Amino acid sequence: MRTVTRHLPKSALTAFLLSLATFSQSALADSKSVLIYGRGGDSVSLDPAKETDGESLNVCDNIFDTLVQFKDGTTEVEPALADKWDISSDGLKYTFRLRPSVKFHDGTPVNADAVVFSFMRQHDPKHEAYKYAQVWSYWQDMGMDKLVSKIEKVDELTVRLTLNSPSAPLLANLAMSFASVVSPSAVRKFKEDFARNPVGTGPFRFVSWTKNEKIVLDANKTFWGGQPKLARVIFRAYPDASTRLNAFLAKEIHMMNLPTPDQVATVRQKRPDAKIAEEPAMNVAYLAFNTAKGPFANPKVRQALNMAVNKDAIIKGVYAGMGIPAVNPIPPSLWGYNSSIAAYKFNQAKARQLLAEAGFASGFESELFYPPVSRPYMPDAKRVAEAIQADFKAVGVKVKLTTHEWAVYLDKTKKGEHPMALLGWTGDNGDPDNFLSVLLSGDNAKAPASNIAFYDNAKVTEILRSAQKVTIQNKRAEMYKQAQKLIHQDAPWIPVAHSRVAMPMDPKVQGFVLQPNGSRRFFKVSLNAK
Amino acid sequence: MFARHALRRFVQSVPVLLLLTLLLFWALKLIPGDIALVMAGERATPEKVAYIRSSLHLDDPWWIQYGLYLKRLVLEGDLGHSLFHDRAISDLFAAAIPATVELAFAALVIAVPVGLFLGTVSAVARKSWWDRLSTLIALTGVSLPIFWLALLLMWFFSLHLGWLPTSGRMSDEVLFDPATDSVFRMYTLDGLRLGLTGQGWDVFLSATRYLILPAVALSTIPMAHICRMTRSAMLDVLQQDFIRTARAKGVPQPVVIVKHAARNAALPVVTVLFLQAGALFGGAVITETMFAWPGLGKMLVESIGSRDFPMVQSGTLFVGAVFVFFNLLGDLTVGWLDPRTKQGRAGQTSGGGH
Repeated sequence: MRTVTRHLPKSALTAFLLSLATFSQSALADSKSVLIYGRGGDSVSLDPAKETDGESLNVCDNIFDTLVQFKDGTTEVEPALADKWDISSDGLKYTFRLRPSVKFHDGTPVNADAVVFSFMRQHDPKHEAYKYAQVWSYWQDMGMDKLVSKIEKVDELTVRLTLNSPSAPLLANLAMSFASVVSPSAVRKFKEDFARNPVGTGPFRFVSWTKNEKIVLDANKTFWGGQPKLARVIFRAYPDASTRLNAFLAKEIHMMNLPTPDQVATVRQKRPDAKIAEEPAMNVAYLAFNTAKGPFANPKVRQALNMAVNKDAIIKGVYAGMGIPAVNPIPPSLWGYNSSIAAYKFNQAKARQLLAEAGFASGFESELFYPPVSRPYMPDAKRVAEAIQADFKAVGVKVKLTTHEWAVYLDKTKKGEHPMALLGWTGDNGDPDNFLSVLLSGDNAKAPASNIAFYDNAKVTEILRSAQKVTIQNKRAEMYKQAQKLIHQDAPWIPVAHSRVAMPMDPKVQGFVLQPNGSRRFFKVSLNAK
Repeated sequence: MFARHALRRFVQSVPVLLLLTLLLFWALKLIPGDIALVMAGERATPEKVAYIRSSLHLDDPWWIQYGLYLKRLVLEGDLGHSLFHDRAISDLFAAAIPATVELAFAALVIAVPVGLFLGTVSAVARKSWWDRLSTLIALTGVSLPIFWLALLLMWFFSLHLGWLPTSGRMSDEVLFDPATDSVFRMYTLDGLRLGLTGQGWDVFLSATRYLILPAVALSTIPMAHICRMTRSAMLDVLQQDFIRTARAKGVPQPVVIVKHAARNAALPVVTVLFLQAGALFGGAVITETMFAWPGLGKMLVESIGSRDFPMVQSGTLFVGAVFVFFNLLGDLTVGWLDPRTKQGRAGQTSGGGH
């Protein structure tokens, strides 16, 4: 230290000592249009088609645009880079007209070639950019590789997708991050490193990334949708949740992502000026009965056990209020949700009576699998399992609790080794099909199954199949409502809960809306002096 | 003589590292289930699983897998490819190591003088009020869980007093973007460079402010170890005949302590110091995580969470190598200070965790 101070001018030393002792409260004071967003981890990469994790896609969603996008706060689709589109009457051809004179952040134009490039790099193994990712995860996850037969340029500003079979959820898929339009010239220039030098058309452009520290985005002043109100957004990583809370309490960050329920309470108490945005997440936590075997093949037993569980107590005790009891397999924020269905009321006397009618007057013994990890839809699966175990015991059903290492757990439940299992699902594209078909269609009830109730009602499966082929949303909504009614009667699940997400924010933050799909959009956000 | 001793110790550490690679390889094989499936996770597509299988040679027998791994590591110096980040592991290390080194060095700057001072004082003034105080500080230092200490420091210095930032490395208000402006990847050094070249001291000031709390938190354990070792070594030496002789000859107390006692007590202290340094420079998992410090320890923990096995393997090996290296350095220093010990020192225990 001595050798250092010898070279330091006296004034610098004084300034140094002074600054160490001054209040750090000014941290956010004079940064009028720089928003600092505190989150739980760094992004993996910034190529929206490569990654599947929220911390990557949340940044990408501000840099890139898609042909169509979800309307703010909903799962309805609205125009984005495509200002209009046309669907052929057989539901096989989707033709998009691109908004004219939109430019990428690198100045190159957005045209049909760019769109074709963005999709073909994920679709065609022979494409020049296909090799830049290990796996184009979402393209395959959403079945685009099997669904799409042709992606072609019609003219400079017109693109056409041809499908192998009609699929109504296609538009919703195209609003997902993986369908972002990327700058072909930037991909050619950076190759694999495009994932660390993203170039899109979005409201913010990429400035810099210091690994595990922060990502800086600046406003794109020529954004086609208008000028963003913020000059800069900084995504800062705080891997420890209590550190993130402290940073928020010390006013070092404007927004705090993913607080635990206890932390939301702490924020309310210690920073009463903070705003807290809340939204039910697009997810569901459920108990699946294995309807293919044992007593659970009998719908009466399943209905009885639906009445045996006190969901309100679980929401209060395990979710600390950050959730709502589930009635249907899809969350109420989704279009097509059937709000006329009445939940099975918590009534243990009635449950015992139904069990007796089913021939189990003296109850029976069974086993309940629960996940070993905390998931967004179920913060503490073991405690949920214990609550259900106690409720079942009250109606005479003795349950043994079992868990396995996570990957093994997924494997065993896919194969149907469970009598009952707790699991959940987070929606990808805001389409009811993404919940109902994946989780409850007979088409997905063969091992390895995503329908781990092995629920196979021919009528439901038929409705779900034909709903994929209808392209008018109102008509589809009616079909999904009908399916939910049938599912409710058959009770292959106990729908447990939809969790809520909360976002504590500095009172200066204006115009932020939580999106059902978990995206974080900063285009309309501003910081007001207070 | 010394060169031969050094060479022998160096050669001895090679089988240690080799054994470590084998142990790590074996440990990763013990993970239940298909490793490719485990890595691919919830949304595993068959393509992803196939990619992982082929890139890790999972279909080959284990000795071929191990041989390939060793060949790449030793002959090509290739640490492998992170499947999670889809990047060369050496690139990821290069980004994280400077942060770890900066923090570890800052922690040692606090731990060594404070530890030496407290240890010496308590040995000289044995059973005094000073001795009890320093024992208390040392004991607290080792036993306080770091995550708790970190929260306590943040609460007091950031939330209560408002003097220091809670976490991170640099204020967003300083006009310094580490991604483009940092030369050393150690922001205090970057700040010094800018300051000394007349470009202002704000980067240095900001970097220092952010460094203080994590460095203090990280310094507690090595400080306590150094303090206790100094105390016992000094007590040992102070009871020896030559000290009594010196005192009898009328040598003043400070001279006795600094010139006669300290020099002789230095050997065990140096050993402990290097062991602690070895532990620090391998990355401080909890301190880095708590203070959002983007170092090696934090990165390793995250790679365990993301099941990035090549990263876990190379990261652990690296941490092990750093530890072995500092151990070796400690041995050589001791051998250099005291030629009698050139046979090597046996029975060293490992340093504390943090």
